[in-house]
Amino acid sequence: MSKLYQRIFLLCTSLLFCTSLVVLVFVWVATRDHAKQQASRDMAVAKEVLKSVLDSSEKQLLSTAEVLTADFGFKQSIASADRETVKSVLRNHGERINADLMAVLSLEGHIVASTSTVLSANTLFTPQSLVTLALNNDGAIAFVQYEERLFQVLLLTVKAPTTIAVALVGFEIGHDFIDELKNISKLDVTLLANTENTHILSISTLPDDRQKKLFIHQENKLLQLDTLKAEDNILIKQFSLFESKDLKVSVVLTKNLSSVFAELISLQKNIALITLVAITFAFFLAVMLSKRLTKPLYTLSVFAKDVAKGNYDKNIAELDSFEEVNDLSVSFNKMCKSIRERESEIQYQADHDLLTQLHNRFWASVFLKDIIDQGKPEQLFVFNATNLRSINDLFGYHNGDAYLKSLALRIQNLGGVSARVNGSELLWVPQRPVVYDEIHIIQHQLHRPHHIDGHIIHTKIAVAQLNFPEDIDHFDTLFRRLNITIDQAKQEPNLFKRYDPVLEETYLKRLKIITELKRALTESPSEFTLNYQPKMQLLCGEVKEAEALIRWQNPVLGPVFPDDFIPLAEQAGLIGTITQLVIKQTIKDITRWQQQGIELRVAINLSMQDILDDDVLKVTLDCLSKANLSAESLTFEITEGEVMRDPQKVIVCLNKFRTHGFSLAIDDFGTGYSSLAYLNNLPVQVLKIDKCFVLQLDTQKSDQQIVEVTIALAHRLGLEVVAEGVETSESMAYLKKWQCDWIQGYHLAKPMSFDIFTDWFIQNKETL
Amino acid sequence: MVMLFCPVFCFGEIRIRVVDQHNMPVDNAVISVKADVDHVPANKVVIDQVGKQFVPKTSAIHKGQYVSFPNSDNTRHHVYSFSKPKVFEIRLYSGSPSEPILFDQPGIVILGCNIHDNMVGYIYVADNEIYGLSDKKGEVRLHAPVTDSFFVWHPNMLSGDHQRQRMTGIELSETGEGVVQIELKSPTELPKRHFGSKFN
Repeated sequence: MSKLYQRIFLLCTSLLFCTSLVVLVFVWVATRDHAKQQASRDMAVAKEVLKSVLDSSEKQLLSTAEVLTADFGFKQSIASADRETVKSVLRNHGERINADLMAVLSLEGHIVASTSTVLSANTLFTPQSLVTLALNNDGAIAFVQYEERLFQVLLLTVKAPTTIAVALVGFEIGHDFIDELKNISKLDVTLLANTENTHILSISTLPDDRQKKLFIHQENKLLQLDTLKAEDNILIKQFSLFESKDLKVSVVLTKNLSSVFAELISLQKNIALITLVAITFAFFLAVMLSKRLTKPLYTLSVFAKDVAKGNYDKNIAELDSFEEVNDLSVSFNKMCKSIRERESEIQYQADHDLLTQLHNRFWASVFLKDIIDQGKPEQLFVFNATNLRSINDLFGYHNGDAYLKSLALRIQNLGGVSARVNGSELLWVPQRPVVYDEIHIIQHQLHRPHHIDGHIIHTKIAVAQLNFPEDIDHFDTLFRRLNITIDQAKQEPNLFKRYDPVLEETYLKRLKIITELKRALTESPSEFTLNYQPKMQLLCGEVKEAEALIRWQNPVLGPVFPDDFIPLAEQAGLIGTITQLVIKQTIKDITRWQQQGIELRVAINLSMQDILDDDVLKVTLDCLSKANLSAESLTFEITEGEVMRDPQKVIVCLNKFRTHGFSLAIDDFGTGYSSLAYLNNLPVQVLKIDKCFVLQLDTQKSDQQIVEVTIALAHRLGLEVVAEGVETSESMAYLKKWQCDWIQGYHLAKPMSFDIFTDWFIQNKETL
Repeated sequence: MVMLFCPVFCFGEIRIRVVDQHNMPVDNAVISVKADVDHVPANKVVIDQVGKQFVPKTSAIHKGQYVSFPNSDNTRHHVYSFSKPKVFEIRLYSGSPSEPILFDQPGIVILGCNIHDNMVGYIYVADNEIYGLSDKKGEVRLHAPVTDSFFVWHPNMLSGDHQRQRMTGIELSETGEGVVQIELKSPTELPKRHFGSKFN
């Protein structure tokens, strides 16, 4: 990840750097090319100048020769072979133009006379071809070389009137000549003369070492262009001046570009310097600019980090010179504010119940925990709207909600701290301690009907009170004790309960029972034993039946009464296991009795769960068949209260039992919420009168009336009657009188273990 | 037939036709036959300068003859010759009479004008010859001893303009006609005075 700061900086500097570099290069190249072109042009001009100079030299030669050859005296002297005259005439004419060579050649090509030692009289002129050419064309012009010296010569025929001789006029092309050329053209001139194989001469205006270099690069091109080494910058142009069979003369023009390049270099250095300055300037500018741009960004990022930490209070100053940065700051501030608002809204929702606007359970926990930790003395009241469900059913959920709101408002108006902890429960911590009497007033206040949407809603509010710190020492116990207390309060006639440690004990004990029950049923079922209480048929006075009653001896809890653990077992879903245990043991015991020759039918208590549970029937049938017993060995008892919880379902299941031939009894009759119509439909054979009616039968007239009528009713319906809890013989006598079919109770025997029962049975068989 | 019966000294009418290497007739060629001439022709030969030219351009004379050079041009002429037979010069004003010049040496004399480079004339000075100049048709009539050897000269002869050539074996017909063939320089080989024009 790159920094913006660095980026901007790099951008600025590199931009300028690149631009400058590009400019520099272009100028460099352009000026160099310009210099080259300029030099080339100069060269071309020089070439023309050179040619022109040579041309005019030729013209001069010609005019001299013409004058010479037109001279009568000259002709005469040649014709008369007057050598001396010839020579003097030659000399005369030669001096006029400063000619280097003046000679007369015979028609055969011999040198007749000469003013220069280069051409010796009486020798053969070379090249012969030149003489021939002159004779054929009346003249010729050429370059010749003698003794490694170069001459430009013009031959002209001497006509008197026909050609009698050839006159020769010539200039030496030497240093003077090229120096003159250099003066005019400002270029260095190098003359090169070659025969076919040999290099004859070279004369040059250049110093020696340069000449050598030239020979290496004899091309019409530009020597390397290293502008930093001015020494070697030479432009060369070579062209041929004269070419014949014998001689080749070429000229090399050279121009030293050093001065040009010196200027060039100077220019380039200047530009480079400017570039450098510009880049340095850009550097600093870039630093400033990037700082300037990134600083607000940095500030904003610091601010944002702060906000992330949770500091929403800060505000960024919105005064930056850049509009965009300002906009960003404004947006940041808005965002910050928005976050603040949202967070407080979320916070509110986290802490409050949205319907009632009271604090919610979560907040209450924290609040109460704080009280507990600090050991502050506070009172806590829990209000439970006991009939909220029926209000919802009767008036609709909308009105139910409105009711809750109204209730919450009343509680809020009590002052202090209030919260809603679940659907129908609200708690309140009063500002100042509330005395006992005040509680009733409060409760009364809360009980006033609510006017909701035209309805009048009555309520019953159960109140629980817990005091800090004496009732609650630890947060973990808070809600448990709170729930126990309010549950109990609901049971109380005045719907009020102050927390009592006993409540917890009971609660805890109940928990313990369930725990132990679970454990015992799976790990040590031997803790459970069956006691049997006999039932005697009054008519014959025989004990033909016994009721199986479960007994539990727990190592931890000690003996636990069925009234205590059976309901809990039902709640915990363990009743099935217990019942199956009972059934199995019962069948075992019946078998054992049979082995001893005792025929007894045993009655087993079933809860509604057992009846509805298919397994119970299945296990029963299995065990019976395994034990080779018929259904007649067992009978099942179900309490009236159990039946009435869901009569229709129960009837269906009971019928199942009936189809297998089991006898059924309805137990604890008369105490429950029964319906006589159902009674008729129940597939039961026996009706057991609840013991509460029988225990004081001998003394309580009311009981006597009920029992008598019940027996009659049962008989009318075709049911047998069992009276439970017979304790006196007087009671038994009454029952006998009313034709009760069976009795059961302490008067007969209390429940006994298998062995004791067996003994009792054997003993009393004779006496009964 | 004439030839058969005529001794060497038998004179006859000889008609020679001069042609060049292309068989084209050559005019102003001198044909001569060696013969004893006892007397020099007395006539005066005149070579005039007309229109900046020698008229006639080519003349044949006998050694000992006099030639006069009147100047009929309205411009001055400086006649000269450097030829061995006669070296002379005459500065002639227009119309000025001149002394006739004796040519006492045989040979070819080339006349020039110092003022006018293009004025060239020729005089063939014969010695003991019977000679004649060919006409436009290239014909020459000679009354000379019959022979088969002739001297021939023309200024444009390949062999040079200052030397005559001896031609032998020239067969004459019955009527005395014969053909002499000489080689002439082609027009391109003739010197041209254009070298200087290059510079103008």
